[in-house]
Amino acid sequence: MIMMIKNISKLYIILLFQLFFYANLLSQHHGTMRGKVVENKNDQPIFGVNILIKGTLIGTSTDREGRFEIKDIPPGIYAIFVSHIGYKNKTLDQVTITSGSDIEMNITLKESVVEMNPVIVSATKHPQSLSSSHQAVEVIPHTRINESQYSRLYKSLSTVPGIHFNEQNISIRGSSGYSVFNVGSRILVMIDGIPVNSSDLGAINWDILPVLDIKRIEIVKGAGSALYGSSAMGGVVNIITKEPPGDRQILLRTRAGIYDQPAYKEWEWTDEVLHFEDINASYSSSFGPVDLNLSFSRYLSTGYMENNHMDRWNAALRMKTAFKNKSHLDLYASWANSREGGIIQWLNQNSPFEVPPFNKEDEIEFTTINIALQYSLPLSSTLGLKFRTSFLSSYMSNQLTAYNPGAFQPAYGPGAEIQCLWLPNKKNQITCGTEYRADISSTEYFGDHKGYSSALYVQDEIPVIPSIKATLGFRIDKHVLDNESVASQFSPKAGVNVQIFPGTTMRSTAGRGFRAATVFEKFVTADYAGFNIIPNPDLKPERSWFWDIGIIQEFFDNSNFQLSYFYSEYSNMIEPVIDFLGTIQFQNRLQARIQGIEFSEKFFLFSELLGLESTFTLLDPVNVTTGKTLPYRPRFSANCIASLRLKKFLFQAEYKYFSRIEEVEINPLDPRVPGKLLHVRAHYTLGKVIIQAAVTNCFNYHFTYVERRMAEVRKFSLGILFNSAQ
Amino acid sequence: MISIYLRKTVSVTILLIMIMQFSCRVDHGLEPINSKITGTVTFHGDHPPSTDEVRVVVAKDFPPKDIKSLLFSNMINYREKTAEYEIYLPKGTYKVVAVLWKEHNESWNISNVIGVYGGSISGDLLIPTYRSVTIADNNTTVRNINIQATLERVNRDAKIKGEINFIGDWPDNTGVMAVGAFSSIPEPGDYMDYFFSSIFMDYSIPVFVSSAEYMLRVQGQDTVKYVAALWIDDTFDLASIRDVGYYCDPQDSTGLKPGSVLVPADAVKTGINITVDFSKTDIQ
Repeated sequence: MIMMIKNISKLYIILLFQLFFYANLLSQHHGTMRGKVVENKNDQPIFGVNILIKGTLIGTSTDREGRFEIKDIPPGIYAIFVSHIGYKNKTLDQVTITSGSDIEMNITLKESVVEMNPVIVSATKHPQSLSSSHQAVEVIPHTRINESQYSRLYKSLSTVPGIHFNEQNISIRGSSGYSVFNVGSRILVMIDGIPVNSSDLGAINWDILPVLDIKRIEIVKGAGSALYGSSAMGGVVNIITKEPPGDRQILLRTRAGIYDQPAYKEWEWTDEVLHFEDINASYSSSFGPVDLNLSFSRYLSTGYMENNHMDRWNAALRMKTAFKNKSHLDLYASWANSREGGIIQWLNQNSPFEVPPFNKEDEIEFTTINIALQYSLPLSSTLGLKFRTSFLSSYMSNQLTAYNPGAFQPAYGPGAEIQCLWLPNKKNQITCGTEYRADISSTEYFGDHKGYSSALYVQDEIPVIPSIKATLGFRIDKHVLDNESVASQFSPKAGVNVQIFPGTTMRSTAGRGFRAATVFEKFVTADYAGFNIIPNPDLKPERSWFWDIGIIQEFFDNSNFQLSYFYSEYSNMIEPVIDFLGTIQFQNRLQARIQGIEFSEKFFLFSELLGLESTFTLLDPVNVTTGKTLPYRPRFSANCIASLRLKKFLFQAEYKYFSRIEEVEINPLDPRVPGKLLHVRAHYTLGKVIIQAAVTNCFNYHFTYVERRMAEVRKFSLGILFNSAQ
Repeated sequence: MISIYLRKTVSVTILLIMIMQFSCRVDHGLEPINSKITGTVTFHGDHPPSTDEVRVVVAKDFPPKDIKSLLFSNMINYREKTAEYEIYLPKGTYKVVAVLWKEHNESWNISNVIGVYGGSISGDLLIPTYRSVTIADNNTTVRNINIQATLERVNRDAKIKGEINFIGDWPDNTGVMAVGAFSSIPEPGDYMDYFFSSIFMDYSIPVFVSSAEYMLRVQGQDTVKYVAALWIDDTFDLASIRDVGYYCDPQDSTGLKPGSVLVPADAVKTGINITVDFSKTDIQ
């Protein structure tokens, strides 16, 4: 593996140097545009505003003084797109650049609680406004993550329509049910466009990075295999990290809280006060040409039930440096380590917060190291290249009850990608690239395995007429495992975005999804909760076709609603099948059809004093072979957030509902109830400090996502957020 | 002034009462179960070293459809001669309460029942009777559901090995092929008899193949009266069990007489081969 990494490194260094000098030769001196972006209310400069010249690859962002400068703009008449989280975006039309011109612009932005049309990158692998996307995309800005006051990242995602979590298993539009340790996720999770699903289990570690590093999270719904390949079968979650601001900034967030006793006296199991603490810190500064950000976080919890403790550490480094030829180099490295109690199931329904005696000492350790280096090289205003190399090490030890620390070795996933964005004329926008990733794993539970996947992708966006934009693309993937080709896949995609009227957008996408079976699913031999898991080396890739159509209607530039219909057909779906004796094997057992309707609205009144955001999802997930509902998928789910903003005060109430899970796999006789959760939160801003308080699960409602594991009880928390740059 | 104060106080009090009432009625989701069965398991014989755990299981129907239709107690202490147990169950009638043994690194196996409520034991044999239990309401404790259990039944120190050959087309609705060792020849179609007279079942026989090998664990020095291939349909319903072939007595010229097998302790008896001819079965 070391040889492989060395070879990839050599190749990239040669390519990087060649292209660096080539870019210098190409840089020309045309027009210049500079200026300042300020708030409309108080003329305060806004830091980090994105400024994009439409129809080109040219763009920048503002510094701490709100200033920006773009040099070497070819002469022409342009539209300038200005956007920032927390502000209404703006388009400046008919900006004329002539040879040698130097334009000074002063731009004002109006504050807005919700950005209706933010810039996204995940639907096409290049920046575009959300309203111009052909695919259903949701954006969670960091402000929403802070406001929601969750200690774990994945909980912030559950407010998105069409997303349901069974504990940490994410399901977008019913794509996934439940699998232990999140094995074989059908959702690809990326950090800044680089996949971080583990190489052996194909699992997601939601605690991979400090939460303060997150700028926004983009969720692409529906198969993303035409751009992202295997694992993106049900969708993509792309975590976009914050760029270092370029000067000194300190962010601190700390929170502590207590868990309540269960609602019933007979379920109380300890006299101790169960509690959790969370501290996050981030430091940014500039060292010569290098902008740097260091982050750290620690989360400690006794847990709300027996053997539910958690001790998690995170650290991350982000470095960015820009060169004279407008290219820039980005490094993001993160380390995460957690030790937590390994709960398989409760003692019994009358002691649901206790575990069986033989599970009391079970502990799981996760360690993930992620290093990603990206070099962006604009060769001209219409041609740009990106080079990415990454290294992922994921280690999960001692998971399958038997205490055997030597049983697992870290799984390694080194990868590389070259991406090209080309605007050959005023109409087309072509994205193409090639990607490689190795997957190396070794454990006593499934042996030693080496594999790799390589891919080629192309996508073209074509404006048919000004109000209609079509997107066509495909990706070819090849997966090799233990020197044997296990999957080859052609994944096409077609999409359309139609601006029907100003403020009314319709979009539709159809495409192919696929997922190659993970090493775990093929080769595992283990014992789980009294059930034997046996290998299935003949496991084939699962495939799907999907289609969706949606309409977005905006009102008064701060309210909107969205309505979508989606339809997917899965073949050879890989699911754990339990035979009548309880032996579990992953099998290509299912042909499935999943369709549904999503509705969401964001409605703000009285200058955003009052807000109501609601989402509703109706799902029809059917196992075509048996006619039964697919397991662990609620047919109906809803989420409503009501907010009241009074200058420095914010009050939020969030209600979450999902219908009773109809089908489960292991203990179908256990009673199940719908999920009903009410959370209330308050924020008070005091200069650079925000004081936060929250009550989560106000009604102390007890339910299970997965059989015999009780969901979290009511908890109370208090927190402080400090931002030196506020 | 006083009346305004009074009105405010009354309003706040009413509001507080309403909130308190609402809090009392608030839906807390899952609730504790207050009804249960309790009893004592009396063990006979020594537990095998390969014992992983022992639990009391309850089934609404008999035979249980699969392992998922069983309700399990917590682990019970099989190292003592007797063990108390309790299982919290919602009200209803439960056809069978049994004691199930599990071997290390093996799945739960229904042929590892070592005791049944209402039944009795004779050495390593279960007497095929059982009694149902009814819980009348959600606050009832049904006591003294005592069970005799024989660990001798799973003290298997000998092995029978053989090959099973399949002739003809497999039925499309095949779910499971198993091989069982029986202490007596079960009555055809009487699934209870298959259940109680089985010594061991190997459920791991691959389906839709032309031949396979099997291995049965049995008690040394005990005579196995019947070794049979057993078919179960793709609903995995044990009631659909059929014997589709058996080991024939090599001394019998007609080839119809079932052969018995006696294996010494710690020994392996090989060559106990079975032929299954699907064209001669009554499977639809």
